[in-house]
Amino acid sequence: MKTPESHGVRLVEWAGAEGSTVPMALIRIGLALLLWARWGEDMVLVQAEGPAMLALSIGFFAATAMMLVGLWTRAATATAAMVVATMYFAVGAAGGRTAWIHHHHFLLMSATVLCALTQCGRSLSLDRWRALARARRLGLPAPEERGPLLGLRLMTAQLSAVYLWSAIDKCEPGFLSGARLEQLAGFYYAGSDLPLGTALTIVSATAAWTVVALEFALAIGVWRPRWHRWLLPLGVAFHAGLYVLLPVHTFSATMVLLYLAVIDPSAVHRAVAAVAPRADDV
Amino acid sequence: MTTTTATRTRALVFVAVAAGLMLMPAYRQVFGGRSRFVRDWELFNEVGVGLVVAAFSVRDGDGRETPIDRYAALGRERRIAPRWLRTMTGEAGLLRVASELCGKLGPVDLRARASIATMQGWVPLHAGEHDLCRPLPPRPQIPGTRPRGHEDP
Repeated sequence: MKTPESHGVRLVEWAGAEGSTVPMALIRIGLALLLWARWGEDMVLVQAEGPAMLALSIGFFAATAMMLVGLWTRAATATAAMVVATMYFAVGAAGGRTAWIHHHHFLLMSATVLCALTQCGRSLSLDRWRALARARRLGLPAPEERGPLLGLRLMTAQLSAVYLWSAIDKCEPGFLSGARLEQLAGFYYAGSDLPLGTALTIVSATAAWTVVALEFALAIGVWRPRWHRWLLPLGVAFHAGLYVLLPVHTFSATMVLLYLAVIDPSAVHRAVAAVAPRADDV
Repeated sequence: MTTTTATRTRALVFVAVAAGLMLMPAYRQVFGGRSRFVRDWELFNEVGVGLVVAAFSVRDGDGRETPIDRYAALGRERRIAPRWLRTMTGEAGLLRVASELCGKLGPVDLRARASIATMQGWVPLHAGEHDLCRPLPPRPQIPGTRPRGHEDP
């Protein structure tokens, strides 16, 4: 029988475990690109008003560029996290630039901060290339692509929180009746010509229940490896649909990118090695 | 597996930060707090609230109603019609279109069957009981037809 102590031990072992750094590296690269996609245009130096914003812009591009290629990666990712957190909290929340504090901004910022907690430079990076060259020069074995999984575990918690609270928010009659989805369809597509009381209502109500069920399943399922095989593809399809249908900006892409934190790191490592076998050669 | 101090520390950090991530949205979603520093996950929560779905008709002297196409009546193509005509928002949006129709159609008895979007669902706004080309009598405000302010602006 499993006792509370055994659950505690398992939690400690799971949260404190180490594993492949390949998923962290992939997330790092994806986040750098998503940060450019979301904030790049706003951070172009010509947009900077005053020295503080200029410094923030320079810091943003320097840190994210180094994050992308993996040069001095931990420092670069930590700097990017600080810059983006400053953009969100200081400029956005405190400074009143509310265009920077939407859900997708928070998710990007949170993911970047959590990425800074990982050894994301030990794989797929210039740092890795330099480490391999150094090992070769000194006749040492290639450094392991391993590191603590804490950052990935926390990204899993972030994903779970998004799904859980989003599902809770939808548990109200207005959404479950399908009306809220009809209203979204009207706002973005049909306008005031929405054919209410038709098959659309049935479709909307069915979609509403499906979305809520899927979000609750994802909130729980990201923690349950046995569910991943069928649940994560459904999640990807869900986010792909949202990306095509609604102006979600970088939200869908960030959520799907964070799925890499959920999957067994060694499986991600094997998949990358299979795609690029020479990546493992010394 | 031996549990090292580093492992235990990581587990403690995990529990503390994960608890923060999991519980933070409750501040806004359960307790109604509105701080910009705290994120909720109410996605697309109030989009579409206030949208009006309406069908217009002209009533003749015998009480018979003939549906009218607001785009055709105003000589506009739906595809390139202005947003106020395609997407009526709030009763004011409905009355603006009605006013344009009254101006274009001349002295007619213009009726509308309309519903308005609220967070609770669709609520009837007009059931053809008023001639929209005449001043409307004072009417009670329908609750929930404006965003609650949960979305950050």
